[in-house]
Amino acid sequence: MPQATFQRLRHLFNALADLTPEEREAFLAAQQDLGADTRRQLQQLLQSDEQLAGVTVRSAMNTAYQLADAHAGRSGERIGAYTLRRQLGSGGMGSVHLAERSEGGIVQQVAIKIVHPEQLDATTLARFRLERQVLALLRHPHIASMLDLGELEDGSPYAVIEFVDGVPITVHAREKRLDLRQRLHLLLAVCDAVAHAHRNMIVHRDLKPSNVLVDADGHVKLLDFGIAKPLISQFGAIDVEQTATAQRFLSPSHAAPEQFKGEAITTACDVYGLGSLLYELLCDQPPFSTADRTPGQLEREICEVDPPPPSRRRAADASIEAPPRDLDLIALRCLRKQPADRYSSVEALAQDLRNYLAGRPVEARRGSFLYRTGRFVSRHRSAVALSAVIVGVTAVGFLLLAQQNRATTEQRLRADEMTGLIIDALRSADPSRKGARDLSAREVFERVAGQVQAKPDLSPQSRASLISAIARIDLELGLPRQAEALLDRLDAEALSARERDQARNIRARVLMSAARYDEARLIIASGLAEAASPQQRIPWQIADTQLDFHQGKIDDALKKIDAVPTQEIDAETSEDRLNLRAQILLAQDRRPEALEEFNRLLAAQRKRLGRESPAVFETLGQMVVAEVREGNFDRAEPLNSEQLALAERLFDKNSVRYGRALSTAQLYERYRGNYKKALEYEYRNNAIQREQYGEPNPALARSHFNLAGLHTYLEEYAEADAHFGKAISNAERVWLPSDGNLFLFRLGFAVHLAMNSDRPAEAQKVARVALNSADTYPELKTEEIYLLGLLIDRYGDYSRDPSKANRAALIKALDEAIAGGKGISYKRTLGDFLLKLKTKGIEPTPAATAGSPD
Amino acid sequence: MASPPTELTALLARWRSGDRSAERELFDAIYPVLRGIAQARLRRLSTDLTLSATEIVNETYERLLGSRRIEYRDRTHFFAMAARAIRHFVIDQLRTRGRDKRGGGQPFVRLSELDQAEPAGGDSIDLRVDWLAVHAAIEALEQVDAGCSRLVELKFFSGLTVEEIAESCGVSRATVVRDWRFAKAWLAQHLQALN
Repeated sequence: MPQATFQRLRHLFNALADLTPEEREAFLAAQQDLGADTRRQLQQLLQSDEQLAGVTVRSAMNTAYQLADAHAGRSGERIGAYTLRRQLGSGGMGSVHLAERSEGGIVQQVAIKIVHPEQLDATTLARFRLERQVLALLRHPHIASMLDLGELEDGSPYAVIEFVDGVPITVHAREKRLDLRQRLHLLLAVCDAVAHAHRNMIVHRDLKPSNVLVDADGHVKLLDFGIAKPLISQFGAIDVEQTATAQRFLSPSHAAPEQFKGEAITTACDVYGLGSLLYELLCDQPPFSTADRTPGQLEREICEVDPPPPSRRRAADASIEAPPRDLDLIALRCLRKQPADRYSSVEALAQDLRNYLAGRPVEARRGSFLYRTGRFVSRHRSAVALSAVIVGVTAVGFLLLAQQNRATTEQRLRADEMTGLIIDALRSADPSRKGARDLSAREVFERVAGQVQAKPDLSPQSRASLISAIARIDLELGLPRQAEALLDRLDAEALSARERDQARNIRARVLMSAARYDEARLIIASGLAEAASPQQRIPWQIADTQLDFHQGKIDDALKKIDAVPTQEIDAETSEDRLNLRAQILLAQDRRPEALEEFNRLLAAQRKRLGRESPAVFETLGQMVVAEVREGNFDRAEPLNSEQLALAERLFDKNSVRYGRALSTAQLYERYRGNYKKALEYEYRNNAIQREQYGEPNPALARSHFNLAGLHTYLEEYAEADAHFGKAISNAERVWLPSDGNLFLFRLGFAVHLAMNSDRPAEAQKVARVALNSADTYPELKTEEIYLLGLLIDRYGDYSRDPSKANRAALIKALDEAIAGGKGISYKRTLGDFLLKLKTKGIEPTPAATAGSPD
Repeated sequence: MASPPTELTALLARWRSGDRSAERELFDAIYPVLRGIAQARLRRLSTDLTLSATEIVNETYERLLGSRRIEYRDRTHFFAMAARAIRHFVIDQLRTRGRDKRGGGQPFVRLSELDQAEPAGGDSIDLRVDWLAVHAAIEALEQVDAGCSRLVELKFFSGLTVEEIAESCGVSRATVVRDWRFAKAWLAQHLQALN
């Protein structure tokens, strides 16, 4: 079947699948160009579709199957003094058999563990030897002890271990309908055994019900030190490191988060294991269910999602009454993601269980409030930093929480969910990572996004609206890629019409920040066209203005922004409007007016969001640039200092925002002539932008351009060349030829080549590319630097052929350049150019120099 | 020879960013390892051993990437590529055993019957299905719609959930559900036509 036919079929199928038979007929009747053949195929497909409702696929391979076991037939065989009776089980490296020894009429039952002969590789052997050694050491009434060891004739090593004829602790508790106290006493015995192992520097690592058996007399025994880990590197004659590289033999449903992450295993791992046993004893359910989950999902839940308190997981027919709050807290403390947040030792856990049994206040209650509201507080360097993050987070978080004014129950629920997710994300913060660095808002929302994905109990509506909200926050945080990734997986069907409209608006803005203007234009056009009310139109009008502005259509942008109604718009949209208007004015060099708008904006933002918010940071940044351009360095500097301090507190020192504030600092230091200092700032910014966004990206392009400029001031021309090159190569990939930045970069490079390196021919070549763009996109001719471009073009001609005509043309261009520009850096550059040309005997006509830069 | 983990993560990243040439390289890095593991499993004698795609893929993952943490997205992409490897493994197995004649059953099963889906004859591969026909169908689909063929492959050979499939294809859940509905109908037609 040709591809086109296939795609046609697919689209028609999708369109028809959900229609009623009558609607289908009507629809098909309207498709007059549809051939009879395609029509028939389509009908067959739809028929198949009906037959296949409620049908799923067979997977090629996921069914259990049985094979004969090499050792299963060993029944009756003798090993040492023991006779094998039956196989008890087989695991990752061997099999376990029940065996008996008869002596003086007394039958003793034992378990014999044999390593598979085909598994006799060094790692398995090392592990087996280690387990034997561990057991030899651990003598404890609640640990199944080792009785003997040896080797079979085929070389398979074996160990004879005390046989525990019992059932898993949880099964025992359920079947015997043990009450709370009985269950806790049983667990205390297990704690005792584990604590004994810890005192001997052994971590069990695999505490799960099937490894904790209770026999008919009610005695509990801990088994299977098969993946136990000594806490010391040399254990007897065994080098532990060798076994550490072995495969992870994990029981995924009971493993602690650090076991998945490959992080350091400490005794806290067993505290977690005991916690999961306690959890199941309290509610008959393991903390994390394996049902309907792939291993990947399970791992993610264990690493990222906090289990609900056992009292809430309890099934109606549970074998035990609902546990009290104190026991909930004790279990949850054991199950915290970070080892350091659990009980500091098994003894401490046991002590708290005894506290509960004796009616004393439990330790788990203490600090639980702090933990819940962000355990963060106690763990971070300063409370100030915390409150800054919280303020930063809530400031953006409020973008959506503020919408809850129209508080329907559903929306309130989402606000609660959002708050819950933020707190969860803060809780899962890992203080050990990257030193004691504070969590940035970016990281918090990455985590929140992760939580939204992982949380199984969110409704599709909540999930969709949270994802859309986080996408918006990502965008506000300057993370368009992350925002787009989230929008891509958004289930738009689950959103309300209004939310869908908002999500589309966010997408348009994401596309804009990625310089994908055409795509953005399409979305905005349909947003404007489909807006149901003037209010709903406003966000689209602003987006439309923004797009013009991004594309350098400044005059259009001003007209459009002035057409946005100022009445009856909410505070946030009103701020968007002020901000955009100020930027447009700035682009028109109407700086004092722009600064007035910025001051209004700053006041509004401080009133609504507080003094420390990302929005305030942005506005300060704009103001610094405006002041610098006006030449008011001393007014710029304190604004910039405030900005840097804000960026550090709200985001962190590796954030894109901090980088931008550094680049702003670079700006006035440059104008003050402190080039070295400026260079230092800009290099730091460059590293941050590269790390956060990779190449190509607009911020990196600008940064390279700044670096190039600074190097020319320091007369380090080779470095300057390199940075100009990187600036342009980034710019060419992120901006269209019509873009002012790209134009500026090319001409900046041309100026550099002409003046500093004395390469007029190359300069002319680069300039010509820019001048060609200006011929295609005439709005570029309004840029001041265009005049320098023309000048370089003439200079190139003159250098190649110093004829009279070329000389006259050069002087004419020079006169026009002097008359044309006012900007501070323009004047500076032109001044340098004049000096250069003077050395070649070229001077402007005297009339033109009246009021010239030098 | 197994690729070092860093190279594999780099390949995954390239593939994720749309570099089609990384796809072949990735397959070449994963397939031999996966085949080795699956064959070892087939040979290994033990009771209650399961030969499940998920386990084989997990073990392959362990072997190739160890306990390295890689990005969740890259992980999903890894599993997606492993599905292709599983598909080739299954087909190779069947051909080796001379079972390459057509005529098995449809690969669909009622949801209510899924629990009692015990494979006939204790084989590791579910022989009630004509996998070679499914394989051929996927190849035919590849010619006209690569996205659809990938979806079918993931459905049969990966054990990934709808969400995970969406993630690895970079589309929304809703898109997977919609496309699968079509692909399922198409597949049923196609297989019927073969018989």
